[in-house]
Amino acid sequence: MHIGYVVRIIIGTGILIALLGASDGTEIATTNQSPEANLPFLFAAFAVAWLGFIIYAWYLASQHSRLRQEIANMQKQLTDIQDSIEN
Amino acid sequence: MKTYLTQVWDISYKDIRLEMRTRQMAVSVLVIVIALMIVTNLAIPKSVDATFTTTATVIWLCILIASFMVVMRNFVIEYDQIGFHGLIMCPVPRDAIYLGKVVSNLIFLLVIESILFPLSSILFDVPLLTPTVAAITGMATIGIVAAGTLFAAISVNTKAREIMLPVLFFPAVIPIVLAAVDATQNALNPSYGANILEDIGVLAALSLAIIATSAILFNFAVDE
Amino acid sequence: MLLQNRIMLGLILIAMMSALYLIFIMVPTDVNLGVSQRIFYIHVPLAVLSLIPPIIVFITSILYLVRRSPQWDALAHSSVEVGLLFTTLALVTGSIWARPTWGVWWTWDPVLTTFLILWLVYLGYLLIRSYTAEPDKRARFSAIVGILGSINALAVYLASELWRTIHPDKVIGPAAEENALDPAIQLGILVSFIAILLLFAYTIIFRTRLHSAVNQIGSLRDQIDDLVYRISNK
Repeated sequence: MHIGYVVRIIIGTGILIALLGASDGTEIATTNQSPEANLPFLFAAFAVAWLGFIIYAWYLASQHSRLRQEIANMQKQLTDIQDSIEN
Repeated sequence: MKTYLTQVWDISYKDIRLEMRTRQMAVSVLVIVIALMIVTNLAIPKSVDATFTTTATVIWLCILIASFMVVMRNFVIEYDQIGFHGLIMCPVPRDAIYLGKVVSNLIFLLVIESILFPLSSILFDVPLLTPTVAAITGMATIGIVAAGTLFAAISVNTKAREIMLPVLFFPAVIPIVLAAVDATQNALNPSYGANILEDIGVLAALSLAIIATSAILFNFAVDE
Repeated sequence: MLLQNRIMLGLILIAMMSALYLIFIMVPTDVNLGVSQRIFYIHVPLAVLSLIPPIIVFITSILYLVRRSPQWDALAHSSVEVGLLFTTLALVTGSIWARPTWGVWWTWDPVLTTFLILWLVYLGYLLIRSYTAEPDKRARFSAIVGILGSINALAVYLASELWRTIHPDKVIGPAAEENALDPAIQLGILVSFIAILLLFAYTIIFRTRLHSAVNQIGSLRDQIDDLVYRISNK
């Protein structure tokens, strides 16, 4: 089943939002608690940012390799044409 | 100038005459929108006191749905019957075609609104049939229809027109709908006073900006 | 070309490392919020930088409609893609920051509403590119959607400011910060901003090159197919 990349973006964001909503019961640290009590939020934010960049880099890399494959196919076709002209 | 306006009117009149023969679109849109209005009315709990706010919101939601359907239907008929290419080949400036479409969509929508507003007056028990509300509605409908016509012209040419039109149309009309709902609430509120002219002026300016931009961009949308 | 790439990536690495050091080691911990305040140092650059693609898209779309050269279309498409990435990250990190700070995941104040609409505009642009088959129609339609979308984002911001400020005192905007006078915090935000700005610029440039390469390969492919057809029909 072929899913276009825009639909994947929508699904991914939906999952992110669902995860956010699911973690709604987490305790928020206020002034009385230790400064590290909000650490899960810090982790979540940085994890999301890094994941976002890595997924996008993956997408760019896959486009890149698809292009190289296409170029290789075309080179092969060109040599085939040259051979058929010589013959 | 007179020929330009005649051309615009000719294009709208074709659509209006077509609709008057079959009455297909008006009936289906009206049925859906009235059903929506009744359901929303029932969905709002009895304890809610602010009648003016909820009325304005519900009405503009229904008008938004109606305008989406009207605008979609207008271009789908053209495209499916291959009339679109005939229309483009007309020796008429492109923005005259655009304005013609806007006028016909506007007339359809005004007819639907003229049934919707009395109905909501009765259902919600609010004084909706005043000149102020009419002016607000007229201005806002022009803006909504102008944006919708351009987006319909674009989406009808893509592979997934039912997806593209809502995705493009609904975010684009948010400013007008915000302005219209606010103005309608103020108009319904008897203690608001004379500032309503300012609200109508802002709506008029917004709609004018939208029509002007869309008319220019329509030239690029139907280039062949 | 390769040297340019390497220099750029090297700069990004240095900037990112310094930013991380500043964010986690040098900046003082906030008294009220604890460590979650540090999310700010990536959230603010992400949010500010995702306001640049609408400007780029607006200008390049107009340039494309007037001049019809494909490089403008490539630049517009790339900035929308990168803009979508940055806006998604800004919305999500902002939401995570907001939960311990304000107690809610989301409010409907003008800035957040505008970012949400901007996200939808980007999505509409990419959808119309996916669903239009012919390449030149695709470029034209997406240019129109880009122009209208970027104007719309601005209009939504102004409209929300005018008609939706219900709780003006509840929210401090993302740029306002109580102890922003502390030099360590200022340095932290500055270095973070530079690091993410470099990343932004590099990603857009790289994506534009990729897009131009796809176009060129497409036209080469057409030429080859044409040649094959002519030869086989001789």
